[in-house]
Amino acid sequence: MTITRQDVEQIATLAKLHLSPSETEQVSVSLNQVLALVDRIQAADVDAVRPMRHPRDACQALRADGVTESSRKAELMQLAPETDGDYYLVPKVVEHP
Amino acid sequence: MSSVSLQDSQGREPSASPWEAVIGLEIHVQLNTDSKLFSGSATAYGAEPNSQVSWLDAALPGTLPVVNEKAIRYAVRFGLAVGAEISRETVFARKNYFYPDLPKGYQISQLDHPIVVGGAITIFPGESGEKVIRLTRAHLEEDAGKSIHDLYPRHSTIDLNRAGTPLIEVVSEPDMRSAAEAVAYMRQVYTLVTHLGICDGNLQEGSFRCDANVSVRPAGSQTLGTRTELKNINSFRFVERAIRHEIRRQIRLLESGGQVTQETRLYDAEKDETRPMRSKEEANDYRYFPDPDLLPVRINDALIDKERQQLPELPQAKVNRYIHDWQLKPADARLIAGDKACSGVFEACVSAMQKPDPVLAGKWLLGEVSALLNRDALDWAALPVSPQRLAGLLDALAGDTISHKIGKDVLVKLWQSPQDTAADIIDREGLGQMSDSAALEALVDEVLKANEQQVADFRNGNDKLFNFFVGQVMKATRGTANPVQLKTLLQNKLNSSS
Amino acid sequence: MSELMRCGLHAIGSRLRAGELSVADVVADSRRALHKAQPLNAVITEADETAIDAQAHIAQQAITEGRGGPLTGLPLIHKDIFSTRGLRTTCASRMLADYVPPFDATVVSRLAQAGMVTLGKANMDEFAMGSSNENSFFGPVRNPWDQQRVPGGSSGGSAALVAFGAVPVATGSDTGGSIRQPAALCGVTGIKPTYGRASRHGMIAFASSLDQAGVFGRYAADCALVLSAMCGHDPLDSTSDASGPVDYTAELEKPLTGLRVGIIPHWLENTETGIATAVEATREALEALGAQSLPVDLPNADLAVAAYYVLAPAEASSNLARFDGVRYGHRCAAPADLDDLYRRSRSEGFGEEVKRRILVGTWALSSGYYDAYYRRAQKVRRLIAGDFDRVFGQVDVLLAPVTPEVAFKLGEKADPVSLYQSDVFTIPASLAGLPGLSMPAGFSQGLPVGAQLIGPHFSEARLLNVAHQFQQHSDFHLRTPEAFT
Repeated sequence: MTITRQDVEQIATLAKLHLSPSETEQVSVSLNQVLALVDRIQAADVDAVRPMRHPRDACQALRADGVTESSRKAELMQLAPETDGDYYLVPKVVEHP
Repeated sequence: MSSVSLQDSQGREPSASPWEAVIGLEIHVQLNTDSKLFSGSATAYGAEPNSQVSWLDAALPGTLPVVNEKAIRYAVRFGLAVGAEISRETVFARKNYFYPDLPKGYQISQLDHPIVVGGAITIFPGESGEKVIRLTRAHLEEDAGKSIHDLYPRHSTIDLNRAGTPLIEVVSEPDMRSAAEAVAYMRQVYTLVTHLGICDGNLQEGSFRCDANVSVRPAGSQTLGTRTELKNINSFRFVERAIRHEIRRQIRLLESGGQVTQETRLYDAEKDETRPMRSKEEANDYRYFPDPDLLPVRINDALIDKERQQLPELPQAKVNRYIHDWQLKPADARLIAGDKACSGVFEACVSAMQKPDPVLAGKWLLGEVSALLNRDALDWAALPVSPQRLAGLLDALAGDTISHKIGKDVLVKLWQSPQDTAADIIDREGLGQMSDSAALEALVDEVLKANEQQVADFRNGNDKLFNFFVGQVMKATRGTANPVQLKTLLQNKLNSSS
Repeated sequence: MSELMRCGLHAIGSRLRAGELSVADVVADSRRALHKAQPLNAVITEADETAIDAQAHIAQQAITEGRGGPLTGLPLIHKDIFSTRGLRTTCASRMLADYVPPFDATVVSRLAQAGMVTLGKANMDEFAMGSSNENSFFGPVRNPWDQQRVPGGSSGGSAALVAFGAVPVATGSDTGGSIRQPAALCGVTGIKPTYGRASRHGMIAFASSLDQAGVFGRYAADCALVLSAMCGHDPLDSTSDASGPVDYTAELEKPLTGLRVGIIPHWLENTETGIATAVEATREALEALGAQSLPVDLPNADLAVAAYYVLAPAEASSNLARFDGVRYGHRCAAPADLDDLYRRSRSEGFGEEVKRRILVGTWALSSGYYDAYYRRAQKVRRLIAGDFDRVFGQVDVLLAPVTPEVAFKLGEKADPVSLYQSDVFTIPASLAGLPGLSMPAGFSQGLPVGAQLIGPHFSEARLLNVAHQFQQHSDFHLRTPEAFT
């Protein structure tokens, strides 16, 4: 299969990346090269194979419920590009997701 | 046909409607753990903004999630309570989307292997009848932070205190057929999770939130119509109104030859209308995949057995016990069992009574006590009178020491003075019923003598005057006369010789 | 370069503990060498002098008081993917060009606890995506053996600094070969332990199910020392193995008698002659030490690169979603609205290769392609892991080439897919979560050649033992780039 320019635009929208028209062009070329590479897995006979989610067959260790963290507010606010000292600030959002 | 008559004043759709509504609910239940689902940050409500945010909650690079065991246990407890299958291996998945209150750019949720599969909830819509609502699943996920849009003119503000709070999302099958059924289901789930002690049930603080999927179809049809999703309706009243409104809107649309668009709509309580959220085509591609930072959680028999042992009596079992063992009316039994605090008060009252009388206790709790709670806008957990003191009042009523009317006065006094017992108040104020029949007879004679004209009128056939005499004696005894005894006495006196 | 740094941790450490050298001497020597290495562009951020002095002082005190351990007072450089509290951590990205983490990665804090002194942060491919170290916002790293050539990637800075002799050891991370490939191209020893052996906490994620921290050193024995201190269960990483620390130096001297070494003839056929020859020679050397070799086959390994370039970008597309210009990192100027804030901040903050992989991964996870690509790649991953399981029933370790060719010229591989093929021999072990080690095994066209050792899960001690024994009987690891002698 091939990835069209429209596909690239759609993917970039999902990934929240801005691509100029020339970038979109370049990206569709290189994405199709990558696709040609990864399409080799289509040849594998995997019908009877379970997907492998983790490199080792282990299970999750659980943590006991308990508060172990204290406020990091000052340090967090200092890391942020824009705050009012209490909140992170972003351009006004009109609707919820 | 017109859509105006589709619902009566109680919101029930008359069976004659050619349309049938199909409703499924997704309820987000915040689990009341001390710490978050994947970090050791506190989950307390109302803290200073961004003060309960760890490096992980702010999604600093390199931070990794570690699962809170109690959240797993609570989800298992819920699953056992609804008779569901508990997944022996449950998997967390990432739901990818961008939003400023979602710090990682994905929400850790579950897709293919949710912790709870299936199960059912029985609801009692209306006065009688019951209906089983099937559950599809319940899965664990983390809550998002909060976006606040009205603090500044050009900015939204983000508070991440809530980000990472554990939730179970309880997904029903589309088994409900009216707004009333939907709200009955929501209440039943609410009752259950508060009884189980896994949710604090605080609706104002968003501990229990609901999305509804609503569609309509011609009555009798087996295929589903196009559905809309109503987002974040957070009170029982609004759920009912929002769904009722949406059903009406869809029917109008279909009757005028239009089509329902699959979309997400927000309910505006002030305008009592739903309106579409700006929809973008990409919004639906969440690119779920198993979270590679988390391994599968294995749930063994020991954990399940332990949770089963710790399961409290479920609301439905309580209702049955109240009806069968304690002879309560089904409606009363459900009302009491429906509120965890109320049923707690009820059971404590009954067991503290000298001669336990559940029917009397139930009648008083749902009647006079409930009325006072409403007057003071209190819930059962904030009841100012202890069950033991209420039991004292009920004892006095059961033993005919006081009348129902005096009982109401004593209750008001108990409400106001936290120290006194019912017996103290009755003794101090001489409210005990006159048990001395000689003294009562003397009083009756006095009243009859003072009202000779009325006695004559009565004997001439004016039966209505009987209550006048009762009233006069009651007034003279400040209400402490035993009404049955008094009536017998009066009848004897008035009907005897002239 | 520094003669002292070339001696390795064991030798420097003994002299420190004997009082022949002070920690300040060692640190100063290493810092001088780091400055001489500047043309390599292998360092992104140097640690603050007062911070270095403070660490050195504490280490010196421990040594003076007889509390010095084998790593106390020894300098190191961390790959700039490890969060270092108070020390800028960029992941070689414009996105994090000003990011100063408020906490240490577990690997960093464990090595600090062992007394090591952090001198700075090594250059790398942006977000560890690359095999040539040309994808850094801070410019490419150059190979000390030939500055016109790449050092490999993504841990190119770490490998180059150890090869140069500026530091005795440096940390790295390996997702598909990012330790082993640059170790080979720079002629040093590098080990990626079993997935889950070293904590990922504080290591900026590229592909969570593949990322693993490891170490570079001139000597396998030095790698063993550092790995012993940095590995072991970490409650902050759910995927870290439950077992505690292991002393990887304990079995270094074990004879190789009876060791069964598997050779993959099919791989040797697909490398340049000089590399195949060096791997053959290594096999003979190991046989001379008592090992026996036999040919084995990994029939599904040919699909590894294809599966990897679905899985790793898919995980990366999600892992890198947190870089949104809201809580830290690059934010574009004057965003018009939220969407503009996201899209411009991310497009300005990420380099070309990172964006390409985010797009590939987003696509592989999107509806309609998930089953055909992501899920199918996970199945192929199991096939490859199964091949290794079978092979490790027959042999103790695999001996293989690390790369199909020696260090190539900067800019030589312009199209991304040809560069992806550089990791054809390292990716299979990554997919299976196996430990892998690259050791200097010869030269081809005057450039270093690495030989790869792959073992079953948790066989790090065995791999280090084999490498150490080989190094007792070879001198490839001791050679130094002529330009700097």
